[in-house]
Amino acid sequence: MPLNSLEQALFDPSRRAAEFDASSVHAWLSLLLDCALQAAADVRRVRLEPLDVATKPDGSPVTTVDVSVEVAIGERLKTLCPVATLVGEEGGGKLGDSPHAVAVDPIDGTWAFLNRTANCATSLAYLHEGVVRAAVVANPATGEVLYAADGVPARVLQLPFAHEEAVAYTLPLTSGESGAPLVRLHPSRTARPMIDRAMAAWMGGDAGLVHVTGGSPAWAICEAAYGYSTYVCLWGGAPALPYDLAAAVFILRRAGGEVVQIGGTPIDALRHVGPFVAGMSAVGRDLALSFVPTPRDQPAVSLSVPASVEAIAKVNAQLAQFASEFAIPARVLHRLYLVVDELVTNAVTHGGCDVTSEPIAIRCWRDQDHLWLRIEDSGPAFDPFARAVPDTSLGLEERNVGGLGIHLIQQLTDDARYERVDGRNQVTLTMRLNYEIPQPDGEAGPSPTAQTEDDNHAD
Amino acid sequence: MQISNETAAGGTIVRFVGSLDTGTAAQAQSHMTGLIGSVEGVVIADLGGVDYISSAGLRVLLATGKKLRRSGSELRICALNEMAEEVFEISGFSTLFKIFDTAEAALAA
Repeated sequence: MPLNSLEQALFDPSRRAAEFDASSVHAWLSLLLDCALQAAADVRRVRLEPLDVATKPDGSPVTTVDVSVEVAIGERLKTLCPVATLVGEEGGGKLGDSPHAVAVDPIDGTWAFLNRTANCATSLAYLHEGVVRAAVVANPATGEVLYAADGVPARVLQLPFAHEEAVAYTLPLTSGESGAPLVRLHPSRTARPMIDRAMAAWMGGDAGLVHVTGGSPAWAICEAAYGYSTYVCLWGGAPALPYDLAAAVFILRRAGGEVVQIGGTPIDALRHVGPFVAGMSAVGRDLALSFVPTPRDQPAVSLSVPASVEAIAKVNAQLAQFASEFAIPARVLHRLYLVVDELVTNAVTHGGCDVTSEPIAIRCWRDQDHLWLRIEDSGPAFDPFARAVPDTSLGLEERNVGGLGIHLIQQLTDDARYERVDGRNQVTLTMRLNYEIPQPDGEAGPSPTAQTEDDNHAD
Repeated sequence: MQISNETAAGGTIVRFVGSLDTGTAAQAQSHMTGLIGSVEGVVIADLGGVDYISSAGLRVLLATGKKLRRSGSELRICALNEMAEEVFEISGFSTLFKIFDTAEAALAA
């Protein structure tokens, strides 16, 4: 397919508009395409070289090329449209700083990039008043560049090797349903049941192919816009930021596809959290949604220990093992230690339990976003949360620590509840594993933990 | 839990390494009780090596703080990690004790 005039201008500067018109979506799309090609070339140039890798506070890697690409785009933006805001991963502005914003991820799928696999992408979105109007996602490894804008259909441009002509196609590449859907799964430590279900669907013929791959979610969403595969990502931990998914989701939607969450409703790509499915066909999306893990699937620790304070160390050892297997951040593990210490001690010192009582049952489990701890003992009915909150403002001489343990539990967990169930005391605590949800104005940024990056959308 | 003392000009630094919880509270309490009356100057509890502190650990610090004050001395705290700092905030202990980033700063205060 020959190039349209917009695409031709990328390779022929004489065709470009002389003035940048910030009110024209077309102008922004040209700018994004130009920046994306430059960025992808910069990334591609170093892709197979030894790389300088630093570690960000959240434990994820960043290369010098990540930083230099974002800086270069920022400088170009400053020249063309000084009022525009650059919203980037490596340090930049927020949506709302200006009506015009460009959200950039120089390399989405940094781990994949560092492993020299092709599942990485440079992602750019132009937002006007907080709404995506144009987007480009380029794969520096393969030379595929996808783009779309308001009034411009989604297209893929294939960059030329030597002596080749660039070619471009309108998306999707395939028309209509053709056989059983192909499903692409993003792995995480809690994805095993999802993968098992997908494999079972493939064995039974309901899925045409199952492909498990990490890397850039933005790239996988773009590939879904080709019309062949449906992509499932659990996206636990942090809510998406404007440069994570918005460009790719916009392109897929312009191609006629959709990105949905559990229940089938479209996601808000600027701040989504939780599992999502991206694909062109409703049949593929419904099949993929049926693979998404349910609470029943979640991994757990379950043990019974004698009602004694000596048992706490044993519980802690099991919790530490669980935490390392299922990517529980250290700050959450330390909270678990504390609440177990307080609750078991409480059961023994106030709850009338001792080593001759029935064992204390402890169960701990997680899903994508939450962790639960449940402790049951067989002592007389006793609601620890019914005690008065201790006065924490008293001076040294007046203070005692009665009730402080329970107060700590209530403050350090997101939900703490007591129930009397079948003659046993049952305390259930909930802790959020994810980051703060950013406000629509983008005020709250992610707080640093390593959990998301290496658990899920390996970026 | 490992507990060690270091005598410095103006006080004694007690370094805790491990978890300060129900399982270690008795050990920590007897160590601190042994110091009272036998050391000169202030006592600094360096919690830099403590991964978490439960209310049992807070009880030890409170009892030690009260006893030291009665004997004319003072308990100061230093090097709280993020979790311990949160526990101190919630329990009101951050206003009960003078808290410092380092043992040196606690000694110099």
